[in-house]
Parts: sequence; C-alpha cells; structure tokens
Amino acid sequence: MLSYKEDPDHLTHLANEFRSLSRRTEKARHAAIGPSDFGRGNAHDPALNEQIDWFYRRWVMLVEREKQYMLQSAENLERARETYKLVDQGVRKSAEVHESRRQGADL
Amino acid sequence: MSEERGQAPSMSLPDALAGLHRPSGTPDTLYERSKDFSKAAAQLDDICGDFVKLLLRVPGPWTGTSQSEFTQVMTGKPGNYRDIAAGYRKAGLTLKAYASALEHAQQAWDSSRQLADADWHRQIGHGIATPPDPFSPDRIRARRQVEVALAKLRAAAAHTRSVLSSLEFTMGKRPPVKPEIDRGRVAAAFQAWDEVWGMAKHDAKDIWDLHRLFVRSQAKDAWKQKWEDFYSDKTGACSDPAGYIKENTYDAANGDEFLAGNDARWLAGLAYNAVGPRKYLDLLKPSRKPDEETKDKSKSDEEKKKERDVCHPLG
Repeated sequence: MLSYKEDPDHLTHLANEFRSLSRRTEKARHAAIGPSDFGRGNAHDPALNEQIDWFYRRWVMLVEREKQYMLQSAENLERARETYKLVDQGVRKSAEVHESRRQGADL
Repeated sequence: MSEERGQAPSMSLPDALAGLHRPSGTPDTLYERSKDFSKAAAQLDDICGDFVKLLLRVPGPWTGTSQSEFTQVMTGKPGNYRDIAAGYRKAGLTLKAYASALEHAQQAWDSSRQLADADWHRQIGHGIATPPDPFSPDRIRARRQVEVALAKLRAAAAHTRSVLSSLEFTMGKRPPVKPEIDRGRVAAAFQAWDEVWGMAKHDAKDIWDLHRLFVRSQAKDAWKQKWEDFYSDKTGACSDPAGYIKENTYDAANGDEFLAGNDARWLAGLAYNAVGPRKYLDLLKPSRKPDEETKDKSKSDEEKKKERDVCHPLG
C-alpha cells in the first residue's frame, strides 16, 4: 500500500548508493581483469594454462552479473521513487481539492 | 649444450642435465595476476561490507510491503560478493605459490647449468689428460637440484589445477571448449557483448535494435560470419525455424553458450527470449528493400480499401 508519508527522496538516495556499489564492482572487475586483456597462459603446463584461463573468464562473469544486479536494483528503486512521487502528488492534490470544497461548503 | 662434450671419444663427458629442460613460463606475470586477484578480492570484500551497511539503512522512511520484499530479496546478495572475493583470494594465493615454485625451478635450473658447465670446464675444458668423472659431486648435485625443483614444480602445478578446478566446480559443468580461431578478437567481442547484454537485457526493444544493427552492419568479422551461418542454417535448412530455435534456446543469463563461443546461438537465444517466439519468427524472415516495402505497403493499402468496400458497401 502506498502512503504519502513515505519519503521518495530516500529512494533516490538508496538508488544512488546502489549505483555507487555498481561502479565499485566494475572497478573490482577491472582489477581482476588486470592490464592484459587476454592470453594469460604464463604457466609451464598447458593444462594449467587452460585452467587459469577458464577460471579467469568464468569468475569475471560472476562479478559482471553482480554489477548488473546492482545497476538493475538502482533502476528499480528509481522507478519506485517515480511512482511514489506521483502518488504523493495525487494524494496532496486530492487533499487540496477536498479542503477547497469543504471551505466552499462552509461559506 | 650437446649431449656429448669433449675433444676425443675417450675424453667425452655426457651433459649432466641431459633429458631435463628449463621450465617455460613467466613467474613475474603470474605474480602480477595473483596480485590482481588479491586486489579484486579486497575490493569485493569492501563492497560486501558497504552493501551490508546499506541494507541496514534501507528501511528508514521507506515502509510497506515493497520495502520488506526488497529487503528480503537483497538479504542474500552480499554473500555473493563474499564468495566471489574468497574465490579470488584463494586463486590468487595458489597462483602466487605456483609462481614461486616456477621461479625457484627456473633459478635452480640456471644455477645447476652453471655448476655443470663449470664442472665440465674443470674436467675437460682445459685439456687435462686425466679421465673425466661422470659421477663427480658437482654433476650429481646439479642434476639432483634440478630434479627436485622440477618435482616440486609438478606438485605445485597439480595443486593449482586442483584448487582452480574446485573453484570452477561451484559454477557447474564447464561448457565445451571453443576453437582457437580468432581468439583475441572474439574475446574482445565477448567483452563488448557482455556490456550490451548487461545494458539491454531488460529491454526487448533495445536488445532487438542492437541485434538488427549487428546483423545489418557491413563489417565482415567473425561475429557477422557466425551470425550469417546461423541465419542461413535457420532459413534455408530448417523447415520450422521457430521450433528449432525454441528447442535450442537456453537460459541466456547463464552464459554457458556465451562462454562456449557459440555466439550465434547465444545471440539467437537472447533475441528469442527478448521478443518471444511469434515476433522472432517474423523477424527471421529476410528483410525487404525499402522500394519493395513501399510497394507492398501501397498494395496492401489498396487491398485494404477493396476489403473495406466489400465489407462495408454502404460506407
């Protein structure tokens, strides 16, 4: 149930926090990728090289998924904030109309 | 160094390190990789801590069902960061240990080589007429040193492989290995499409626009070729494209096809998931030229008019 008592700005703040975490996750992903983009077979054993390669690729993708999740959460919060704002405006408008009608009736 | 060293057959002395090879590889790069993993782990741990603190601040002025549902969904998420960080840390430490073993093995080989060469020079190099001793203490020490270092290196490699396999095991079955063709380019494209997927996966229109853009682009690269192969296969050979695609569609989010390098199938799955079977079947039809499109449009307008006349003769 939506309520005009809820503070939409709080949701904006939360969305910004989630966006910030998403950016930091992206930085962590870049840190994990390292300076070289590919060809990280530097072990003496080809099988080990392959294993390192797979680890690298799959775990970077895990970080990417978390980043996307954060970003998606931020977007959802912003959408929720818009909804709350509209409802808030609607509730205020209704209250104003109601008040003016009441005043008209009093007169 | 040749196997046989010496001036005369009677004075020959086999190489002390015969059959042993200096291990290849670059320990410095592995150290760097290990540092990268540790750095990423530290950053992810920090994010996890801040994420937990942020979740505590979520309720605040925000109340109601949506807030409690949001909090409930988010509760387990910091754990993902913690797990990923732990994996990176473990991999980093293992790689560091392996790099150390590799560095030690290479140093051992170099020092043993020097020792064996010095022994050879001492016994034969100066032309001393005494018979050479193939079991001199220095030769035995040199060979033993390399053998031990190589055995340690093999053990370290096996350990590293086992640790990395166990980390990979948590992610499920490994997809089939893709061929090495265009590996660097495809890797770069992976990165790019990864970004695209992340940006557009919640918006069917965006992903489809990007998809069409990709298909229509004039760049003749490996990706376009793969798409064309896929496209011709579906339109030419397959009588029921929608059924075929549905059969071969997988959860695009799990990324297995993506990782396996089955790019066209991955893209197809993405598109199929994004727009649905009916729309996808429509879009699979070859695109028409603008002239034909306008012709068809005008025709269809006329036809529509006729139909309307027939349907509504009084109108």
